[in-house]
Amino acid sequence: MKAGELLRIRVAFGALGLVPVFLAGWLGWLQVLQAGTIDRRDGTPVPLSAVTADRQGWRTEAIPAPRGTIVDRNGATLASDRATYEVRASIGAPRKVRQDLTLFRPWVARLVNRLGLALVADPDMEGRDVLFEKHKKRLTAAANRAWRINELPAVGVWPTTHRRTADFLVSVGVDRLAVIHALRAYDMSAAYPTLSMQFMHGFRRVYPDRELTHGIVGHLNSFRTNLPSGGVKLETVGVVGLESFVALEPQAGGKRRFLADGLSRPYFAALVENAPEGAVLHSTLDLELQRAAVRELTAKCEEGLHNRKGEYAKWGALTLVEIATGDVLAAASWHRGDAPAQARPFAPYQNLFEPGSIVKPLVLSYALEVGALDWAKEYDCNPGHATYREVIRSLGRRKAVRDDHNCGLLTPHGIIVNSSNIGAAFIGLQLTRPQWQDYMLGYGFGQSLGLNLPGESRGGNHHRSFAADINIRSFRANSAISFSFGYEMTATVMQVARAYMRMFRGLGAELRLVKALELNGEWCDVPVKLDTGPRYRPEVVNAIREAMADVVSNDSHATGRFVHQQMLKETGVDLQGLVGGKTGTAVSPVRLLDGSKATMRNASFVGFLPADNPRWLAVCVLQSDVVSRFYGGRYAAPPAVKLLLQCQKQLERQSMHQASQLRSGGQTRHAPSGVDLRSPGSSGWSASVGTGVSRDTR
Amino acid sequence: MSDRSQLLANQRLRVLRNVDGWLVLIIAALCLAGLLFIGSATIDDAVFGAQQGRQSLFVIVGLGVGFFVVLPHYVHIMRASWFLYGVAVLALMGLPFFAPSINGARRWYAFPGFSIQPSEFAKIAVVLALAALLRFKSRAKTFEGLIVPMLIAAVPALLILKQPDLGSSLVFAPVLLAMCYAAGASARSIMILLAIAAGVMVFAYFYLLHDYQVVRVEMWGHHWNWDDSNLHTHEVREMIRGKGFQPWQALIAMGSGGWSGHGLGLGPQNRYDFLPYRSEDYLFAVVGEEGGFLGCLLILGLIAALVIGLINIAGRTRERFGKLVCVGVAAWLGSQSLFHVAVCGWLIPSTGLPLPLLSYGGSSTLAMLLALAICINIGARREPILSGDGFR
Repeated sequence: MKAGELLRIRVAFGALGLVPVFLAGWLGWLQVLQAGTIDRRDGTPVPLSAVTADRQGWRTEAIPAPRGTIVDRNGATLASDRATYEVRASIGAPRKVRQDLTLFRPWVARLVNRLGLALVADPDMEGRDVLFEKHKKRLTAAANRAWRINELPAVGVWPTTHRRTADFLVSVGVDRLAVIHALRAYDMSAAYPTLSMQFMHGFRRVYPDRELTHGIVGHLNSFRTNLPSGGVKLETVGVVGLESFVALEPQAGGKRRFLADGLSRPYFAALVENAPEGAVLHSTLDLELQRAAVRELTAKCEEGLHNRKGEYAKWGALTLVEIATGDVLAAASWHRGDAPAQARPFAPYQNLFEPGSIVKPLVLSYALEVGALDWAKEYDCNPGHATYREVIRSLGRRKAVRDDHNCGLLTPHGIIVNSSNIGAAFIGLQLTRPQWQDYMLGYGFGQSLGLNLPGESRGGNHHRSFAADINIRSFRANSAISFSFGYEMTATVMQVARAYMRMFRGLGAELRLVKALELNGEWCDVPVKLDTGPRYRPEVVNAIREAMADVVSNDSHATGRFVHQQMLKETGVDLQGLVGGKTGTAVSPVRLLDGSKATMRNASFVGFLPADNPRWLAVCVLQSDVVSRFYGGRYAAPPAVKLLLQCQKQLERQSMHQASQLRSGGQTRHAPSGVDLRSPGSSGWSASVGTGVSRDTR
Repeated sequence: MSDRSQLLANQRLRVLRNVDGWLVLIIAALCLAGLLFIGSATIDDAVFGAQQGRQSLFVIVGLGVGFFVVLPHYVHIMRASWFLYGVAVLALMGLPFFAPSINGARRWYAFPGFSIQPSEFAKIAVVLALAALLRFKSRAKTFEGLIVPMLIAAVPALLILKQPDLGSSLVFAPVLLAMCYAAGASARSIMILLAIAAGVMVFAYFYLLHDYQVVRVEMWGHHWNWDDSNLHTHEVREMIRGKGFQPWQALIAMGSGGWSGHGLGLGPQNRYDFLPYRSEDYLFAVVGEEGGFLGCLLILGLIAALVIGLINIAGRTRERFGKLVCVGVAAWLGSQSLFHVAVCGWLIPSTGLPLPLLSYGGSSTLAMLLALAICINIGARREPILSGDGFR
């Protein structure tokens, strides 16, 4: 080449070479000297740093904060927030199927099939076949919408204006590991290089023992509310049971942060930030006893479904209370019919019934305490004798007071054992109207339990019972006599349990459903109302207790003889001296929702164990509308007694376990000296953590 | 095989000994870097995930075809120059009628399993045609002699502009200027050419560009006034979300790279899809984000070394066609690379141009590898000038 030509080339490319030199200099200035900022003019430099790059990838989205956890008294979870994923898929139609549309639809069908299979990948899933078909149908519809498949020709090549990539929801609330793994496998699969899945973090409320705790733990309802600003907000509230407690409501909406791409598609759900920690609500329930309560109640209520007589209940309720603390250890509910569990009332708390004879010990204890009753006096309970005519019939009562059998002369002790209505009426007539009012108030009939559960039924006496215009004679003839054996008033099972607890512990005692609350790491005890209110004299309580202990005996007139014999026969356990109680049978005409009238028969039983030093109290009620001979001793007593015996077994097991640990010198939390493991107020749980010892709540 | 055929075969293979090894090494390094960054830009991507594998195939095919292009004497290529040019122009003319519309442009002929972008092959055809024309010394001496070369470049450039593909059509200007100047055009002629090019650009801005291209130019002009205080104003945010999204995200990617970048596959702009078409028109932004300043220098250095290598071949080639082809390819490679880098830094209005040998694209890669193979062929010959006008 000539020198001139070479010079020309070098000049040309030398000039061109200035451009990359300039670019390199500019890059050095931008990336190194300015360290990620760019000064466009005199104003604040524009940040072009990694922070800017990261920052625009973050998105924050409000999500329902975790509600928290509900545990039983042993720490077993009753309700909790389970981490779930909302799975979205982004799928590009591969080139192969785009070039031959006859392949596209089968390809979509295979894809949907495989995604459907992934969603039922957990072998422990129930009804996988049905679920698979359901998922397949939904995914097919989603894929059709996303790709607008109906607008695609059946043959030929993919129209250039038609969208190639489909984004659709695969599933919400995915929480099974096997399913997540299966979906992730497809996400990474070489068979689907155009498939990409996003997993969005969220929560779902789960109830590990749903069937056992439906009523008492409750459930959540979600509904949309219109905001003043015009938007719509999805609100979730607990509508029944412990779930309705304010403490479980998130203080503020949680937030989740996730990385979003340039098209605002979420890529990765980050951990929840700034979401308030869910509270831990320590309930008084004992899951094991709850299981026993549900099992026994259900078995008894459904017993009639399988026998020829068709003697089965309309509803049933069973509750177990620890007397020393008022802790509700179990509360079971049963209803006839196919209504979903969420639609059924929680019977121990919401179903009212006329308690019948199970209030007689309460009436007698009150009368004895106020001096209206001589415990040694004998009452002539023969309905044909003069006493009945002079005391009851002379009042002009329209409806006769009857007993099952002619009881003859009875002491108050005998009145309880024989469950004599006439005897109870004699004693009830000893009480004045203000005393009856005081009785109702003291035992809490017609008053809230204070558990703050929604939908509580309060019951109580008839609204005209204590009306001022009712003269005293009429009151005595009707209300006073009816109250004596549990008529003209209604109560719930839990109210009856509270009334008996008050008799044993004092008239200020209350039931407790929550032991403590952990909120933001702080432990807040719910105090036990110990020794509150006036207490009955020990001799009064002992007299009633001994009478009730004799109810569950082999005495020929004892109303609890059936359950005594049944338990002896079935389990070999002699209940005499072990379990005390009182049976009740009431027949009540009620008006139904459709306006018709029906006669309901309530079989009820109140029992406690041990008989000499009551620690647990069980109340059971079964109501029937079809059975004529529906007795408390036969229907309500067996479930309650079996539940009480379960308590005893559990205590023995815990004692043996602790004793073996102490002997072996193993790691255990020792009960502090002076605590009697078998004494009331020292339940298995409280003994295990050490009463009076500061607890580490974390 | 006859003795003559054996002799020819041996001669062809002997050419391989003269191949510039450094040049091949640089080409291989650029292709490898391209594959790495394409892989990083498309990893886990639902739509573009297969690009790395496809680009590998393009590179292998390009190198294979290039090998066979190196073997025969380039005189055969010179003789086919006008035919190739004609085919290229016809292919460009057929695009509005036969090419499917993709993203509003008709640039690709679709075939089962692959597609061809004629504008990339038109670049090499124009280089060959210009070299074939300008190899006559008298052609470039006067401005009148440059009119035909201008037309040769303008016809495909206008056809490409109509697709529309503004970036590719712009590449023809520096190629024409460099080849004319190297062919002996006077400084005056070059100045007139530059003035004409400027006039055409002004005319094009007002009358030929599409609306979205005008908006890109306006956005580019506007963004010089942005700072952190007005970045959050409604007007600027709308721009960033709209037409300014792509160049703004590229600028953030470049700026966030620092000295050594975030690391391959770890750049947030790349990883989280803030850069659309980053494996093609914005690959250098991925280099800047994940390789940092050092990565950018390395890539720019390799491209500069390749351009210098081509200039050296041109410098030592006494035959004018070969010399001009090398100059043309060097101008094409250099100018397209610089356009691409400038677009990624938003130093010029955004327009779609692949980074030669690095960006994803079968046609682009094949065309560039073929052009480089021709240059290597020229460099391996060192033919004497047999006559005043080169080969006869």
